[in-house]
Amino acid sequence: MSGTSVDMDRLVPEKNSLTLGFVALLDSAPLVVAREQGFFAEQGLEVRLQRENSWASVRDKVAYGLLDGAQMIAPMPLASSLGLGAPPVAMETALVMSRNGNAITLATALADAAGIEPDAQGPDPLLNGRLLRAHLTGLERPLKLATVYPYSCHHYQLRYWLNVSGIAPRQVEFIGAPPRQMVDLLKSGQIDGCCVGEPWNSLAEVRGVGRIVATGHQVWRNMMEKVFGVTRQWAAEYPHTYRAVLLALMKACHWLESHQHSDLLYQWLSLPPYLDLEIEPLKNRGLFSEQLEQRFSGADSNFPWRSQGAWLLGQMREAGQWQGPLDHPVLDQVFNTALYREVAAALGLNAPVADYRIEGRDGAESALSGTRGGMVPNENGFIDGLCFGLRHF
Amino acid sequence: MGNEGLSVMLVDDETERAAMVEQELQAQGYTVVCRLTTTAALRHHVERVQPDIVIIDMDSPDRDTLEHMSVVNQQNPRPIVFFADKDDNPDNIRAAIKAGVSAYIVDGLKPNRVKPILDVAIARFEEFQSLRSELLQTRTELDDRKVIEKAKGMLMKHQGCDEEQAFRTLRKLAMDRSQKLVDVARSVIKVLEVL
Repeated sequence: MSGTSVDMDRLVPEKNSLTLGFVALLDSAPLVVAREQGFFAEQGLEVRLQRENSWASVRDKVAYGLLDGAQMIAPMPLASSLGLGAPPVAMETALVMSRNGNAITLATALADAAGIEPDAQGPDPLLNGRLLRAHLTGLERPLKLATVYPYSCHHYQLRYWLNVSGIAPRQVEFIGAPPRQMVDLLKSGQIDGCCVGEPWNSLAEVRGVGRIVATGHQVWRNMMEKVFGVTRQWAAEYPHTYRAVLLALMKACHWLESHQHSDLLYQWLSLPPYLDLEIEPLKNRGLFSEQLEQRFSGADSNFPWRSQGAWLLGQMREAGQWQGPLDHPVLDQVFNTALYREVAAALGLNAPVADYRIEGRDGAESALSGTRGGMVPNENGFIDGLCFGLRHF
Repeated sequence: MGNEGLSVMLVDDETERAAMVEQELQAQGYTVVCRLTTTAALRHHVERVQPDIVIIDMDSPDRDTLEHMSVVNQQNPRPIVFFADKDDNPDNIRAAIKAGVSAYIVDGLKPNRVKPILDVAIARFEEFQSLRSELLQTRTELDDRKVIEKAKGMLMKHQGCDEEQAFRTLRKLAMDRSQKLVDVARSVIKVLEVL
């Protein structure tokens, strides 16, 4: 726990053989790198990465100790701690592993019919939203749009973009589907579109069955996407192991800053059990589409902002999943900012001093105090220009 | 036994295992409404049939689809992880997860009505698991050897090394990735075949 004092230079992992869960998405890269590049081994950890087929099984296996920890969608530790969708199990995260990387993709035929054209400069999300809305008035059935999981940034970003585009939830049928099925569902016409992580949007484009009409980054700039999640009980039981894992993952994120487009990363990710041969069609185009702004490191990228947790609570409320207050004390337990700072300090990295900030504010106004002096955070902002803050700061 | 009032939906890719669970549940007087082995139709079936309880393979990618349905439409089965009452022993839950069973029940269904169904599923999943590992062991020992020999041959050719070295390479890969030798051999074959 963050309260216990631990000498970061002399970590003696209480447990050094670990099983960590991941879902086969490009943003599982930090875990893959930490293992293949030897960052886990450097910390004296022997880590087995176990591929999971659903977010529900990630949650349950972490909750009941079949996994030590896992890559999680950012709202998961929060939803688990609040008992949304499953019995409550207190979870936390001290590390954001990635930001951005989602996109909203429409079936090519629908995009064509709505007059949404491919744009080499990247999609224009507001224009595309208006075009889709106009097209919907002539359509007699609701739009079928799929996301992977109800408590996910994908689901909330899709709803947000629809809302900004003036498309009401009643005009849409929201469907749940596994990411690797999205391309086939688009192709067979069973869905009209989806909001999903990579590589599935790019694969839909490469195969000609889908067109990216908005990126997650355009909807919410640099929002937390995947986090490293554990139960609070595990965190308390294995404080040294926990820190060792975080150090290794942070090094992996840092490594990715300069190697995101390397052949080596491609080779690792194309190994079974990671993404396997699935990513082959992206080999020439590059794994990470520039447009999607997938980010693993730099500035405040890895910092688990509690204010972003509050933002996610707000999105849960919008979606009818949460009825409580947004300044709920659970935020302070779920987003372990103190532990992040501890790990950052051990690596000589600057970290924000505050736990909360105004979300959506950009430019000079957004400069932060860091533990090692001032810092310029990632670009911040919502597609509709909204600023979001809780009363108490 | 009064069990015939409850309808159970089974979602499992392992047809043999699903049949074992179905048989036993029917013997105990439950109605098994359908035994889905794929997933495309899952949504429609849940909506049409409105089962009281869905038993689904823990590792099925369709679990997220079910969770989505239960959040979006309150009439669908609500996700609970087993009979996760406060009084329940977490060790029981862990055993169920280990066996690979997960379940979704309709809101308001009493845990004491669900537990016997889950017990059947857990028992059959475990039985299937041990049957299969016995079978696998005898059957795959031979097959595995063939795959490993093939990978070794390809490595020898590709890297111009001797048999001993090729085997060491495979073993090192297996240890590095905590994978079984035969799995590594298969991926090596896949990679080298493309080159």
